[in-house]
Amino acid sequence: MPLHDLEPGHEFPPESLVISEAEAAAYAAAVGDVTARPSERVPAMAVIAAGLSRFISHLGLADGTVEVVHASQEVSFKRPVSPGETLEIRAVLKSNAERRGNRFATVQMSFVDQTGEEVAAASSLIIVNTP
Amino acid sequence: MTLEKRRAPLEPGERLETIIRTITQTQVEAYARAAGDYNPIHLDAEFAAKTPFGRRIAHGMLTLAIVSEMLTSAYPEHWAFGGRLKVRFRGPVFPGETVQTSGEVTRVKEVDGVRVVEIAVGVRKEDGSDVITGQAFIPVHDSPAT
Repeated sequence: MPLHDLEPGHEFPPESLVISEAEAAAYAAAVGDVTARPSERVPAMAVIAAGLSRFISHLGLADGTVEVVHASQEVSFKRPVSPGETLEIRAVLKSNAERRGNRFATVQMSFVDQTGEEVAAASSLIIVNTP
Repeated sequence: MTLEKRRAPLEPGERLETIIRTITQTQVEAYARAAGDYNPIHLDAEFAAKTPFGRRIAHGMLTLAIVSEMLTSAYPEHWAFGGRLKVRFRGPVFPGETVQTSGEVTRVKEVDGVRVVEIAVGVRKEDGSDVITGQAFIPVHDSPAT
């Protein structure tokens, strides 16, 4: 469903997220993170980045028809994620409003492990230029 | 070989070790694949030319990853165990540009018996313009989680 049709409070269907050791290593190499130990831990920000990319893609914001700018980001971590661990992403559209031809939307994501514990959370404000 | 472990900055005024990095288009493309973020503003020169930026820009989360690396390096056993970060993206990074992180402890407070270190974090370009500004909050437990 397009972003402009969604009301604040909209809950996205839960999504499964697994980051393998190879994916964690690819992420660490891409960002140049020399502190990363991808065989032991997924780099903290890789989890958030994967979640955010999915929602941008689901909302049809990565298809080249609109300009999307990432305006602000909040993240919090409870514990590191292990490579291969299965998480569930629970995401809610917290705000969604149009101002002067731009749409401002905040997506809040919670990353939950198999025991139901939240391991990380994020809130992303994106600005979409709506021609 | 002896590896010298730097003490974590815990007092107001103490600075975190800076990371200086040049972001390349190759890195942007590798990041797109690794994070699954294929927004054409990062990848498609023709598309990006028509945006207000006029050319391709690096992903904000790619630049933010350098802040996370700085925090991991300073607080290896604490950042991923309760750390929090709030940032604003102030301006784009164009591939080929060099950026530098900053981090300075601004306050240390006790929350539920745990010391929480507040850090002003940022990323700046060589011309002095801000790319990212924000705050990090690191709970420093006496017995580090491992």
